[in-house]
Amino acid sequence: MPIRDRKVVIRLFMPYIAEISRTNPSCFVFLIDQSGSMQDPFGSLTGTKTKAMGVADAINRLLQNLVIKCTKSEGIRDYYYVSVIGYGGKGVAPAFTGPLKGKELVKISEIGNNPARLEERRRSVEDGQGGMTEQTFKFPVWFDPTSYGGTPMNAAFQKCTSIIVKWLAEHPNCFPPIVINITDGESTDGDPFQSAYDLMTLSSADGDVLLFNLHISSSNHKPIEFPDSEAVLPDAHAKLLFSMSSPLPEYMRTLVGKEGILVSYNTRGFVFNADLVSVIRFLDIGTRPSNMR
Amino acid sequence: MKVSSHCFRLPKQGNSLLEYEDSAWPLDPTELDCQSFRCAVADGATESSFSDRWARLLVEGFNRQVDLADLRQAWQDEISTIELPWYAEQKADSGAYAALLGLVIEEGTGSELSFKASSVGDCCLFQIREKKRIMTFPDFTFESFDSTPALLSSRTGNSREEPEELTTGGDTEPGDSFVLLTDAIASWTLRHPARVEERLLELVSLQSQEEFQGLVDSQRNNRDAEGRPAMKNDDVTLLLIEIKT
Repeated sequence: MPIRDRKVVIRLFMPYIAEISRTNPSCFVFLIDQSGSMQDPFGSLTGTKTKAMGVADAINRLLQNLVIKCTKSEGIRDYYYVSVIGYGGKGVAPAFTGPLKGKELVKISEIGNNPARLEERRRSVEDGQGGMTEQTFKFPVWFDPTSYGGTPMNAAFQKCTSIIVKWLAEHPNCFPPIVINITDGESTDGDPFQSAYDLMTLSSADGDVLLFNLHISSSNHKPIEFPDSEAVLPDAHAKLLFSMSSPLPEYMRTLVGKEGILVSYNTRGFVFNADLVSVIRFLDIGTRPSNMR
Repeated sequence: MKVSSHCFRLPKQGNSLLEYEDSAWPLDPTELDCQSFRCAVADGATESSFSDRWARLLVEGFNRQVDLADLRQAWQDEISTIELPWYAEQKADSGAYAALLGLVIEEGTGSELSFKASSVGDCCLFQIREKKRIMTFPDFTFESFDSTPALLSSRTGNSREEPEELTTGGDTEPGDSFVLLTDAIASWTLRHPARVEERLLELVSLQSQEEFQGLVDSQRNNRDAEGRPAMKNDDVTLLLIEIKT
């Protein structure tokens, strides 16, 4: 079926207002492309970084931000259960390294307390006097770059569907699970659209599962965030991933709009060679100051 | 002048009072005969950590008229004594955030009474005279409340900008009541324009923590057709000030 003929039914009436709390947690599934094509260079950012390295950075940053999102004075509150599934030449399987290796679904507090390692990294920060200064910080790593074999994206969506069906049976009133698929878009086990669609049409009482795609590409095309039309996308892989990305719920659309991005009812949870950490920022677990960085 | 204050507060449903992140000054019931009375409520943001400490420092600081820079230093000093895992350290680096609303009532030389109020964020103040609402500050409506207000940060340099402080002032007289509210109960109060006075009078007439809890529980569980509660599940604080005749 040509991509242009594919329609994702937008169920505007779904509220997406369920409270995310320790007594009513929600679920995140990250799907990570670990195929051989991920050895290719990543975008225009550097000549040495591979797409696999870009994926590893992306998933580690997403997990880091999700842990920090759930951190309060006394520790990490289990607002989320998280699964990280890799797909590549070795099949479809949990992808954590370190103490969580082999685990399929874990509490966010387990993730925060069990990175494989903490790396010392440096970043530039404001010095409070109008200048910049270098600061050391700890960067947690749960996932290392991996690239081998084919891209069984269909099988990955089917695995994800089985995890979420079980989750929804146990948490029928939760804020809908969010799935983030990080890939270069080249599925080798057939057209993944139907598998993705089956996943996106699962629902809790509060709304359909949200499938967001982060497209990591070797293309030098500028980053694209939350487009509302495939016309702006550079290639067929991007257009395919766009077609199987969920339309943003109203409150997320509003927050994306506040970030200066033009939005419409067809704005999708899709980014191209860009950062999806903003999705973590959009999760509503209570008051978030507008002036908080 | 004679002033009394009563504070009613509840944590978010499902949380304990230890996890309550609002604050108020004074917390305990107070009856004073004084020339100047200062009180405040603060609402620590859920998304930041150690915001309960920041909210407490802000209301105590308002009462003692301490500079914001000194309060920020006090918060930093408190946090720096705690050994934190990587995630708590990085969260604390972002600072704590809170809304603050302060009220000062003063007696003039001729025994006339006046008030001044200041606000950053989404707490709300009402003045009631003879069972009528005569002042709302800031001039909020139900639509004014969202979950992303600009708030006071415990760290400089972490905010994109310092949030705007609003101020107001006016006359008051014996018999007046002032109602200071944090955002969840303030938005409930303003939800239906025709019922604002009715709801304020319901708050002013509360006699006990049990009555307060009954009201809040019933409104948290009262849901519309889409499942939205009449009162958002959040920490709630009501500080009731009465100027006695």
